[in-house]
Amino acid sequence: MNATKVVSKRAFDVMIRALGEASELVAPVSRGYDRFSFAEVEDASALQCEGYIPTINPPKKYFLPAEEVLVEFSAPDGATLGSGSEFRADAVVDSPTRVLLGVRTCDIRAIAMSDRAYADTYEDDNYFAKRERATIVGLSCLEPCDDHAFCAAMGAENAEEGYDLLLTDWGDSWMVSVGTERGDEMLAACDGVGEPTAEDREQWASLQSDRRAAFAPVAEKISVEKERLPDLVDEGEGSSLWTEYGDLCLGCGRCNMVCPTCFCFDVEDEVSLDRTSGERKRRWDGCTLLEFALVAGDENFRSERKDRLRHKLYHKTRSTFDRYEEIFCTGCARCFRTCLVDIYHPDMYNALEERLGGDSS
Amino acid sequence: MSTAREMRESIYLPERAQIVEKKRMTDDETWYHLRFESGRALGHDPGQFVEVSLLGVGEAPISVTSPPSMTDGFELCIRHVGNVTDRLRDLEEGDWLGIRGPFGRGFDIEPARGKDVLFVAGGLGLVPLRSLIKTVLENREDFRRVILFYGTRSPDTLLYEEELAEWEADPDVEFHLTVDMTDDTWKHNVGVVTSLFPRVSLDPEETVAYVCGPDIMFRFVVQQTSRLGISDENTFLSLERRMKCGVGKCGHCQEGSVYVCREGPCFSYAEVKAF
Ligand SMILES: Cc1cc2nc3c(=O)[nH]c(=O)nc-3n(C[C@H](O)[C@H](O)[C@H](O)COP(=O)(O)OP(=O)(O)OC[C@H]3O[C@@H](n4cnc5c(N)ncnc54)[C@H](O)[C@@H]3O)c2cc1C
Ligand code: SF4
Repeated sequence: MNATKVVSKRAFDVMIRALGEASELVAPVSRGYDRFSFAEVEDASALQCEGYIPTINPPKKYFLPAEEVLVEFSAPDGATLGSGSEFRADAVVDSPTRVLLGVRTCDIRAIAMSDRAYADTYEDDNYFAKRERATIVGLSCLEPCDDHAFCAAMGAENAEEGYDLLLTDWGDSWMVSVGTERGDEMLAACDGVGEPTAEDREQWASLQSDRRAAFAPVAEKISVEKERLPDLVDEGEGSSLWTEYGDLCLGCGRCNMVCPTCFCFDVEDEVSLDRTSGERKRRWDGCTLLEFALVAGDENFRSERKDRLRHKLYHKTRSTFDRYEEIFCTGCARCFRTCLVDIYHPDMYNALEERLGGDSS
Repeated sequence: MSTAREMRESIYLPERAQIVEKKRMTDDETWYHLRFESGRALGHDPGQFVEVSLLGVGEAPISVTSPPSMTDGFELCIRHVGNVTDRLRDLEEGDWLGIRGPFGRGFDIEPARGKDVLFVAGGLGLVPLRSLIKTVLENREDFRRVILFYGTRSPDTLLYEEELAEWEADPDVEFHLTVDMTDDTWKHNVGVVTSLFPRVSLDPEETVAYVCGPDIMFRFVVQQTSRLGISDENTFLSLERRMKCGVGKCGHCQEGSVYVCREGPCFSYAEVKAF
């Protein structure tokens, strides 16, 4: 375990408020109806946001905004864009300094996953300019946030890394795990940082065993080990399950948008009416949307919803496992909460396993 | 306060390049010689591509058709089929466009050293292959036989006619040409590109094939190469998928577990089968 300290919540607030002078502070904020979203806050009191379920949109919006300018361009006097005239083009890289407060361990894991994808072979400057200037203050879940999350089945109810600080509620204090040097510096700026006492340690041990007990049923939501999922999706390629779920699925893309590990985008140029200046933008895109898989000559490899749904699960399991030895799903269940027809990944995995088992027996 | 908007390098920023020379090749295809404003060489491998930008219109992935040995700029050959590529038709010598790249993985040439090389190009597939063909011919002594099959729809859609004539005249190149349809003046083969296979006898164990053309052509060509006994590992293809970013992020070109733009666009047939 990472170095653990005890800090009074009041002292922690003071430190965070001071950070807020030079950085943007963001934390989950209640939107009513049991919905939360990350938004700018004044101090760390928002961290008290007890029992918040995963925010509508994951924190990826801070590193990969729903819409982002990549390039600004213009034509010289008297010329228009697209005509072959000389032009000016500048990369636009927004890089705010931010402190993300109250990031759940599932989202911490997701950020680590998108870091890998966005660094793979070519480093994405727009992503990392924001990512590198972000401080992540995580918040441990003491119990499952709702009945839908399947984080423990994906091993995301804990995080060993990927945060600067990870907080656990400790009454008037926080029990703080330090993940990075940056986290060390933050604590150094706090008054009254203490070592856990023998009593704290005992309580910590019992808290951990309570947590394990609370999360054990969550781990059961998927009937197979997560390491089996890539093979399961592979072996189930021709299963009738995809047709059944494909008939249900609306191909609306909502699940892609809210997914913390979906990072596909579309690129488009927008120009001023007089065609003398413009911006190249990227926007979130989703593999469940029809236009996504168009190929040369307007052919579409995944023109049916069942194929796109399967592609989504394949990509989250087989593809990412082959490439990163990791399954790009944290079990946050945002996809389920947003889905208009209640498609739930664990149901699909369980049904696939059952049918495959049935086939071979 | 906290927001800084930096102007800096980015993988998404196109670099300015100027059209040094332009030649119409067919009704629908134009050849361009480009040079970066900075004067830098592109530094590509045969089979790699660049993203061509007309800012305000969009971007299109285009294969580099010149060999790496060409350092005074580079060449592209573009078919005008839509938004970006149609407008490129109107650009003139001296005009500017934006380039990102080179991107992707080119053709693996190593397995062909010391062996017979078979090139099979269909239509626009000659564009990426030309870079490799020229590279092989520049290093002719490293290879044994060089066999080239090229097929297009009709005689007026032939690309690089001058070079085709050179290759035909070259005693070191076994050159075979075919068109799908023609008139009486045509002295070469008539039929799809696979109809050229019976014209040569190949030593399959010692042959490495590079195939480039529309997807439908691949299917028929690899049937032939497989039947002849050229191994899947020694058969190389270049895949064309819709792509946006060119750097393995945007997700559009995913095929199984690979991003065609990043792990490809050139693959061995063994790799393609495993997708
Ligand atoms: C790796 C790679 C190398 C290529 N090399 C060349 C080349 O050397 N020369 C050449 O002329 N073309 C090449 N292409 C195809 C070229 O990228 C497309 O023709 C171009 O993107 C079309 O853009 P557009 O804006 O003009 O057309 P759009 O208006 O976007 O579309 C017009 C038509 O082109 C198809 N299309 C759109 N985008 C693509 C795409 N990325 N790939 C294939 N078809 C597409 C559409 O389905 C539609 O039928 C290559 C494509 C790839 C992926
Ligand atoms: S949110 Fe539901 S209906 Fe919409 S694409 Fe995803 S699975 Fe299909």
